[in-house]
Amino acid sequence: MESWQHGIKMIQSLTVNWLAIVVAALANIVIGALWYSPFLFGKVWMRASGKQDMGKGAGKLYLLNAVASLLIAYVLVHAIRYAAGDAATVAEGMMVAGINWLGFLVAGVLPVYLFEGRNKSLYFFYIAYQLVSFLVMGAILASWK
Amino acid sequence: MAINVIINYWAVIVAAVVMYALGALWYSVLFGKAWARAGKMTKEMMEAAQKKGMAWRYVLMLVGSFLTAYILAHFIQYTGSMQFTDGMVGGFWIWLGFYVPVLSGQVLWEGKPFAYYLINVTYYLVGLLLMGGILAAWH
Repeated sequence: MESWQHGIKMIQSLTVNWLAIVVAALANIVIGALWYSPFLFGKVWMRASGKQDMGKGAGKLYLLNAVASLLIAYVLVHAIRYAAGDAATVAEGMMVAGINWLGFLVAGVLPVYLFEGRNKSLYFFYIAYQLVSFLVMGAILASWK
Repeated sequence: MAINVIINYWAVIVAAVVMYALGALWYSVLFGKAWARAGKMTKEMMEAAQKKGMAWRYVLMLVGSFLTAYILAHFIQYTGSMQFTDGMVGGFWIWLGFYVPVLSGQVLWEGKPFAYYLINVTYYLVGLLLMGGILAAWH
């Protein structure tokens, strides 16, 4: 129990800039909204997924999506600070974000899609969106102390 | 990178194999049927996938497990975790920050049932707790 509490304390001992986390989460949301809009890949995505519109309850979806983005930004800033310290540069922030993307998103989401036996393009749209988003978030979180 | 860490490659290999083996169990004897039902996968879809060949998928999954274990090992070392339980805390945060939000997209946007998400996300929770613990304790 003692080491568990030590672990919690250890992970919380960083001082994080909440405003930077909120802005990074917003960047994640905005890039996603653009990515899946008709201007970029929205139409292709709808064809690939067979979905036409979001239907009812879209407001709740966006709210949950915002919570998801905040979670990502919150943990990502910790990964950056632990790996590169307080003096992390923009390049280092982007690198840590990119590595986390590779280790946890590419490798993590992959099997879920692999074994579903359906359109793989959904996976590539998603993973490419998150790469762009992670690089932007990494730059924000590293430079904005 | 500003901070250098020493990675125990044996621990990485063991952690990756544990994750992989857990996945093999999780999606067969443990929750295989529930997963197929929740994901609305028909027998025909599964058989079609079998025919196309599954071997490369398992190879890709194994590669993915190594990648995850290798990168998680760095995170665990950066946080200075030395004990199994500390590593579990690190694994938990990575799970909460990346797997929980990322996999939720399938329910939010792709219309997958919540039960399907639950089976996937709990697999990663158990996997990351185990990997984090191994990578911290065996450094």
